[in-house]
Amino acid sequence: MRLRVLLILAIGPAVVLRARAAGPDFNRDVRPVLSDKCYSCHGPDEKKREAKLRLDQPGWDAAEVKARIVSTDPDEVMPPPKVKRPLAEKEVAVLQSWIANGAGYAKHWAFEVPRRAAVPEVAAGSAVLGGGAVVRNAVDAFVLARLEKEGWKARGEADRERLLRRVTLDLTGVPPTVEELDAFLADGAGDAYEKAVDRLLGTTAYGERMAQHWLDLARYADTHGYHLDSGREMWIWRDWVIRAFSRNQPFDQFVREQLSGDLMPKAAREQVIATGFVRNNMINFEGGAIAEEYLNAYMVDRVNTFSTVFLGLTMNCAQCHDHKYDPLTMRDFYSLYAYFNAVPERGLDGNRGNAEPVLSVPTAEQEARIAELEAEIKAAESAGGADGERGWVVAVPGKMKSSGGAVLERQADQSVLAKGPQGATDVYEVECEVPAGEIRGIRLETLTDATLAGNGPGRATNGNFVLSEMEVEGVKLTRAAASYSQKGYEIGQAVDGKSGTGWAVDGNARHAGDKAWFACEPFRAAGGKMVVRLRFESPVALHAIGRFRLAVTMDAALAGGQGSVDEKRRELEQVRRGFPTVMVMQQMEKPRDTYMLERGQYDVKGEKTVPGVPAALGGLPEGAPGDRRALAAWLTGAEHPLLARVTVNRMWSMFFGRGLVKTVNDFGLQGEYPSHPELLDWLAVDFRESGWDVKRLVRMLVTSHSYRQSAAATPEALEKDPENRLLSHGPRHRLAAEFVRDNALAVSGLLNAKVGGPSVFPPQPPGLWEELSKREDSGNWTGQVYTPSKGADAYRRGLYTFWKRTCPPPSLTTFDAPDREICTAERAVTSTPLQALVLLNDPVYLEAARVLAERMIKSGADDKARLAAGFRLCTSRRAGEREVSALGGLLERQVARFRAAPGEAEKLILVGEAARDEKIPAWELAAWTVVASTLLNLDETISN
Amino acid sequence: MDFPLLHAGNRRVFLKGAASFMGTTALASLMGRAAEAGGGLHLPAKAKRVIYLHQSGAPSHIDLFDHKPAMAAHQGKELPASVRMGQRITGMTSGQSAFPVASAQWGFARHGKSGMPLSELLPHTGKIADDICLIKTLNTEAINHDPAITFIQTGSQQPGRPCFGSWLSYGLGSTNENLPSFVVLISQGSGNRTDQPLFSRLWGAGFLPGSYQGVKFRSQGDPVLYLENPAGLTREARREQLDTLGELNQLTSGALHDPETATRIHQYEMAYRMQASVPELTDLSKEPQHVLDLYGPEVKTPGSYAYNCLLARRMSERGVRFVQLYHRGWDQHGDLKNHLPKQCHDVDQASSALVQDLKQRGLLEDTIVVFAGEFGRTAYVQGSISNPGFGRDHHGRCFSVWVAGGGFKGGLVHGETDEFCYNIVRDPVHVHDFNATLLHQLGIDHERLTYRFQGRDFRLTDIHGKLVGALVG
Repeated sequence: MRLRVLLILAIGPAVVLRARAAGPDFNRDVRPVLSDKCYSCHGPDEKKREAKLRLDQPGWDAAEVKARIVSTDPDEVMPPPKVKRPLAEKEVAVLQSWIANGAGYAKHWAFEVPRRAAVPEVAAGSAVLGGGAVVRNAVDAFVLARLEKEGWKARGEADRERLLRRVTLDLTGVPPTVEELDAFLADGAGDAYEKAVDRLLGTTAYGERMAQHWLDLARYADTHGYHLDSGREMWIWRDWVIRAFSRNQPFDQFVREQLSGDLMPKAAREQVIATGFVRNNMINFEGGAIAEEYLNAYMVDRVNTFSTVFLGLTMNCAQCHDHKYDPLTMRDFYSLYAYFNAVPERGLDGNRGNAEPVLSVPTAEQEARIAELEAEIKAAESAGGADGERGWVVAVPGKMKSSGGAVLERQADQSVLAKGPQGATDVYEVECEVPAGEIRGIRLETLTDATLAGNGPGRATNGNFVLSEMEVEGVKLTRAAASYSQKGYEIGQAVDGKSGTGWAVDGNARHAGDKAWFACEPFRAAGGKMVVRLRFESPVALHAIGRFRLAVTMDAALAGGQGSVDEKRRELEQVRRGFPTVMVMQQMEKPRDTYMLERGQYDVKGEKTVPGVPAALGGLPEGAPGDRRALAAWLTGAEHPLLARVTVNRMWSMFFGRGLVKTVNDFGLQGEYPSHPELLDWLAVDFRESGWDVKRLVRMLVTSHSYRQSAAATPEALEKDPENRLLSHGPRHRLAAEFVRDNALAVSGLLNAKVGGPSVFPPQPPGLWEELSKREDSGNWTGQVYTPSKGADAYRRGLYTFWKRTCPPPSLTTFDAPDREICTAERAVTSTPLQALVLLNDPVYLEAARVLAERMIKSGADDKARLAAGFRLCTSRRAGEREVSALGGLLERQVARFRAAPGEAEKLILVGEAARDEKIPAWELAAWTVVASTLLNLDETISN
Repeated sequence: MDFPLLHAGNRRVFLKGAASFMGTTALASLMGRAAEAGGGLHLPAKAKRVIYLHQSGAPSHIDLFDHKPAMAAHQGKELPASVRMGQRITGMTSGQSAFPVASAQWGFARHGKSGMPLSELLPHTGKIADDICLIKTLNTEAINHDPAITFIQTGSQQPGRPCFGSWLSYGLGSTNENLPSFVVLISQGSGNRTDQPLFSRLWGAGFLPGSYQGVKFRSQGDPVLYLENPAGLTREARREQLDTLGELNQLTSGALHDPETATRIHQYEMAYRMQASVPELTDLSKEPQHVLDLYGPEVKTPGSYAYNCLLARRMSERGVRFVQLYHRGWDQHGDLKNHLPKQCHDVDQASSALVQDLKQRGLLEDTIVVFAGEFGRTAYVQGSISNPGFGRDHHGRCFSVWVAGGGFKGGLVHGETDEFCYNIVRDPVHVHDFNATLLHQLGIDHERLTYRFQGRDFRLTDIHGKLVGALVG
């Protein structure tokens, strides 16, 4: 028996899971071998198939295969030596046994719709070391049943301090405060722990913690990534993610909004912001690059990200050929591609920050100011003014013509509506009746209309226009003002005499018409007729106004929109222009054509494809729309085999250190079989049926006994299950990079808990960006110079650190944070000397040590109490005798050192900007700083 | 400082071999795939380490290495359509109405017993002509810097893959546990001052664990980030601190038995040793004058190319596996005549000195030195030929690189291009072939150095690459 177990362990813990009499399990034992060793030549990829033999389905000669896999003849043996993937002895045994038992196939487990398995019974009194079974919820039943089969036991519950520390760090990324620890220790109620969990789930820090992981998946960053790697603003999307997790948005909705929020009926601003997920890809504007090549790169990135994040599958093989292992075809790849290949974006863009399409999103302060201004303007208008009716006389249009062939129609309200053909450029000439008298100004109102794209007011597909020039025959226009101007298209450009520039208004994004006022040299209209020309001759083609109305005034005070109202208007425009933006999705009316690209090359087009989903994962319902809405609906439907599984597995991995499927980003045939397949499916179904309730799922995981166990491993467990896949003890891991930082700032008291907003620049060694990219023209681009944040912004949580893709924050990447160029589903957890150097010498951590030292000094009257207080702050538990004495010894030596060298003490405590209490002598603070730094470096301090 | 087995996935191995892991990890890791085939390196290794002198921005092969005297007759004339063959070119010149040829703007001279022709801008390189293998037919599909430099370093034009040095760290590990196994050094050229940026992905580990990424040695501040103890804290005080830290971590280890704790204790000790070994490495005070002279006057300026070359030699001596230099400034879209001599002056003497110095120390035999850009430059001018400030655009269809040491044949000129240095006529060497050949000399079968990621076994050469046997002895 023992021998058998060891042999099987050599393959991996997954195989230990069940032993069956009737030959190997196809999904668990056989397919991995076939997939890894045979499918590349005898699998789904038709083009690479050898000898017309398919081993991914029945119908082959068993005797032949049996003989070939054991042959010693290099010309006969399979796989052939030249492919360099020989079968291991144990793999041969598995295949032989499988063939002997009839070589049966089963559909790949992950492509079957998950079904809720029965929760196993666990024998009481056997499952936990030193105690009875603790089945707190279904998770434990599955985990303990599995351990029972192995003849192993789980551990008892971790002691309360370690437990609260573990769950607080896992749920929020910051450690419990001393007060929280004390309250928890004092709470004798049976559900004290559950109450603590509920408290933590209600914090915004929980939302930040969950977002941190999602940002990796979504490849969120603050720069474009390629070439000069200039800056972008996606923090509005990042904050949306934090809010979504904090308010426990159902996960299916969370997914649908990120994929298709812009297409939802009456899409709310938040839903459009959500689609920033798709736009987080890298963007290029390298001089000389080819736009089409990069558009292709963006779509490929989107398909790969989509597949990894939501399907747990790797589509990238299918970019060039049918997948070698999974039933995913090249057509599947380009069908998904087609969903994304419909954004009105340029292939080369981003040299001025965000690339189109973008959404302007006012901050709370800006919104408040706007409401104020609008109210004031309204009040002023009702009292008459530039925008009111008093003092203005509508000019009645008579003869009209359009150089571009448009049909200009007079409407009942004396406005003019453009219909019919549209020239690339156009000039409207309108002769209108105006009253006798000296005219001082002309007003142009642009109006929305249901016949225009998106209601107008312009004729462009996005409702925009560019008025290159406004002219009144024989009259000099002296000044212009507008209720709104688009960035780069200010109203002044409509009277600058240049056809290359003009006035625009961001199209239908504003859902309203805008007005412009033109002051002029006083004139009288001969014969009561005034001829106005609206020129649309800028390089932006097809951008004429769709509907407009003209009026004149004799009142000089109203003419140029002067006066206090106008000033307010100007400010309003100013505020609006200062809105931060976020890159979002938008659907082109006529999406680009998508082709299958041979060998994945952007310029070698094959067959045309239309949007669609991989057939092997279930098709689309009849009549599904041909856009991202269908993709999102399909993904979140009840019959989807993957989304719930992949998601619960990722959550499991967040809290238990490894997924139930260890290959969290590969649920395909090459992925690893789950350690607890029934548990995975049970969780997936439960998650979906709960309405995709994320907090409920997280709560179930962290309130299970499996999670609450002591992390102390037995020698047997370390030997036989070093990755703790079977959970014979509780999870323990080093904190993620951002939380290593947050933790140190929190225990020192420096942490600024402000949530959201633009990314910040905590101190980092000077010159890091410049040594990679310094150029004489660096000033032309954003994101080229690192200017450290001052004051409170220097102490923000790690997830707010400005993420430059080509030079990511070094203290974070040293702790395995990715560069965020592409989707990262799982960070490696490494341990290196460079990490030690960061924690020991990075001024950020030294400053935290200095501030913590002061905190310790003030915490008690004697050294022992102070040391114990610091130890508890850092590890959440009370120090043992030996720990206090070791720290005491260090303190004594440092006191001696710094008393003898006060100058050195002064130097050491100079670090950082945080104020220091001058009443503490330098030698004392320095000595305690060394002790505090030691505490911040403890294995326990940086572990959960 | 390479720890192939210390990431969580390999904990078990570490448990077994904690005492001797640095000595065995390297091979054990490589054997992840190779073990089944018999263990050890795949092939007999000719070289143990690499110094890669990357010339970022792409030097002109036409003016420096690919001698075509007949081209002078075409000076100023339109590049024949039969040569260009409508191939794709960058957006910077695709709109030009004319593509006049500019032949080499400097003379060539033959050097060494081999009589290797080299530009007069590279007199010092001439001295090592018999040590270098000049490949004139390297080629790449990429036509822009970002994808091209990413490609030559990682085998993929798009980001996400490990670079050469990371693959080597992963495969072979370090031979000096007090130094990183993969180091990056950067210098700024004196030519193009609006030159191409570099990216951390070029020394990134891609999907490999982050411990395999290159460690940048800097000329400003600490040579390795956060290496030095803070002002006011002596090495002795640090020792005391680490002793206490170790003691406390031992207690944790005893209570929880988490192997990661034991690993961490070890890492702190390595960090402490690195704090001594790096300053020793960067201290040039014991270098004899004749060696300094060999590298030229710039050698004493931290951050200069010459300084970095000398550091590279010192690193190789101390067992660093892969030293990656980047020298910027080679992107001569304009002002070729002014910029190219400056760039050559930056690198010529020190590159040559490095090879000579390694040779004198017997290190060249098992050290590969590579001198390469990410592509070449066009035979036709960018701008107008009548404007003396003309330049050359990007050209990936052929470019020249040289390799010395590690079993590469000295004095060999490999491959032939057409009379315009535009297309390859004979013996092409694709970037993948080049990388496969470099790995081969290091004892690695490029098809078997793999890493399983997202269900696929990835390698540096993707699914391509073949050994170019003619380059090596």
